[in-house]
Formats: sequence, structure tokens, C-alpha cells
Amino acid sequence: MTPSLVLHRLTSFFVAWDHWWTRESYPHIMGIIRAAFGAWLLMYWAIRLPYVRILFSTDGIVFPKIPEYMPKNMEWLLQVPEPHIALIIYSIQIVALITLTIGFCTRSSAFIAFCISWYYFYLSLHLFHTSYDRLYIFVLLVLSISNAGQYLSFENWEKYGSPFKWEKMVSIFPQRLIAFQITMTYFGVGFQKLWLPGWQGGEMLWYSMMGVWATPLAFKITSYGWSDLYHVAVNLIKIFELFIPFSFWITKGKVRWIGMGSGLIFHVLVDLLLYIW
Amino acid sequence: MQWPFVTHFYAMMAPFQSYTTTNAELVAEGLRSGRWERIDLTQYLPHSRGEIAIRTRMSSFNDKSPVYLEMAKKLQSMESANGRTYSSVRLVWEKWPKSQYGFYDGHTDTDTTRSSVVQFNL
Repeated sequence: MTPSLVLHRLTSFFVAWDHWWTRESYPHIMGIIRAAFGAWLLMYWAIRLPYVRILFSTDGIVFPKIPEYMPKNMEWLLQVPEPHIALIIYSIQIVALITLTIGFCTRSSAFIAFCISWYYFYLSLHLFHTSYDRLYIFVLLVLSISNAGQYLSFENWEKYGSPFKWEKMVSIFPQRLIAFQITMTYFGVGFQKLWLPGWQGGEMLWYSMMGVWATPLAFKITSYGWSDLYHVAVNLIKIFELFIPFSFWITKGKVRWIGMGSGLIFHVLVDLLLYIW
Repeated sequence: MQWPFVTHFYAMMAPFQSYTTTNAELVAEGLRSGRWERIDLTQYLPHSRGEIAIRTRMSSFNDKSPVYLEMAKKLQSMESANGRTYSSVRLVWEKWPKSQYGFYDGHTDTDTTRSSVVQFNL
């Protein structure tokens, strides 16, 4: 292989790489993701309304965590607020999520929701430290730099008389970032299970189904006693978690749809057996 | 890993890495008329059983002692506001073997161990 051929192939690769990350695309996918994700977050936060004072103000047991990267003169931001201040912050979050969902001032709404989600994370959610709270913050940040308001939005309705009308193609970069992050999250979770000591046998599942997360259905199943099927189930979980993230990228045949179906089954089973959400 | 952004992203990939053969719960108790009474934590921590269990581990904090002491103080004042005045509030970890029949099925006097976390005296 001559140096010029190597250079040519490298150049072709980087052109393709750049194209993959930054080409223009239809605005539909990001518009739908924005509306669905916004509606989900709206519900996620709205159900906390009766508990705002207890969860996020001096009326409750709240222990903020100051992140290491926060400048000293900004630490006051994470002081536990008085109840009326907590209600104001919460109201802003709800309004931002409503406007994000309907696609009104989309980028600003996403950025406000990102800032307040970041605030809530270090004020309280850090103690629960879930993957999904971290993922939500990331997705809101990406939405704030995206053109997710170019379809299925109030902005389009104002401009074109219909939220379904659209005019211009948008950068695919934000869509790629979200997809890549979700892929890596599932891949990381699944890949570690190949060597984590706890995941080398069915005991992981057996004891998890008797733990703090266990649902009545989980206890119903464990009440039948130990079975080698738990070993099988643990291996199926690993296969699911490693197959799902890659399947989304495979357009050949029906692999992508099988992956989505597997993801749905996987999450429904988690929901039925472990009361995490 | 100390870099906060690395930690943030790594933590997304790190749920359910290991398991235990025991269940554990943080129990709050208040001293009134010479008797220790159990304080219902769910009125102050309106979460699922699992979320309460994770939150009360205070695993975000390197030094948990001052946080638990603050929690005991706060519980004392909140209980007092609700008409239950305790001269002391203590936090205790209870641990018991998991049972295949229910979360508290293994929670018996003989099998449950208690380890003191903190005590706040008024």
C-alpha cells in the first residue's frame, strides 16, 4: 500500500465520518423526539407537585451536594431554598417543559429546563444517582443546541399555519449525539456485565428480585424457589443489553425493529419486576 | 474517577453492578417518656422503598456523619412541629437476610442486626 493510497483512504474515511456526524437531515425525528421527551419530562416533574416543599425546600430533608467544579462564589446557588422560592423554581421548570413540549421558544425552553434539572440534580437527585436523571440532563442540553423546534411545534404553526409543515433541513449532529449517548449507555451497562463478578451467575437476578426494588410479582416468582433458569435469564439480559444498542444502527433487514422490540420487552420486564420508576 | 464529567457519564453505565444477600433499611427512632418510638420516614421522604433505601445511604458524601446528624436534627424539629416531641432522635441501620417470600419476611428479632449511625440529643 503506497503512502498516497493510505492518505486517500484516510481522507475518504474522515470525509465520511464528518458527513455522518454533520450532514443535513429532515427535521421530523428531532421534532418528534422533542415533543415525546418533553411530554415525558413534564409528567416526570408534574407528579412531584404535591411534594415540592418536602423534596426541594427547607421544609424537607434536603442535602445538596456542591460539585467539585463549582466556583466558591457560586455555591450559594445550591443552598436549600425557602418553600416559596422552591415553588417558584419548580413553576419555572414546569413552564419550560410545557413550552419545550409544544415547541415554543424551543431552544430557550430546553436550556432553562437543562439548568433547572442540573440544579435539582445537585440539590437532591444526586442521592438517588440514577442513569436516567443524568441522561435527561444531557438530552436537554443537546436539545438546547438543536433545531428540534423545526417540526411539530407551535413555532411552525405560527410561521406556516400548521405544526406539520416544515421548510428547511437541519443538522443531524444533535440527533447523532443523543443516539450515540444512548448506545454507549446501554453498551457500557451490558459490556461490564461480561466480567463483573456479581453478574457471572443467576444469583444476581435471584437476590435482586428479593431486594428493595422487588415488586409483588418478583416475590411471587421467587416464592417458587431457585431454578437454573436464573442463570439463563442473566445471560439473556447480557445479550439484550449488548444487542439493543447496536441493533438501532443496523438498517439491514428488520434488525432495527427487532432491537426496538427487544428493548421494549426488556424494559417492561424490568418495570414489572423492579419498582425503580 | 474524579473528573466530574467523566463521573457523570460513567455513572449512567453503572447501575446494578453487584448484589447483596441481605436487605437493609435506615430506621429513625425518637425517645419519648423513656421509650424509643419508630418515626415514619415516608412522611418526609415521599419516595418508593427502593429510592428511600438508596437516598438514605448518602453515598454522594465522603463524610456521611455530619449529614446523618443533620438528618436526625431535622427529624427532631419536624416531628416536634407535628406534635411529637422527642428528647433524642437516633438513626440505626437494620439488616436482615433476604427472603424469597417478601421484603420483611426475614426481618425477625433473631436474624436482624442493628448498627447505630448517629444520635441527636436535644
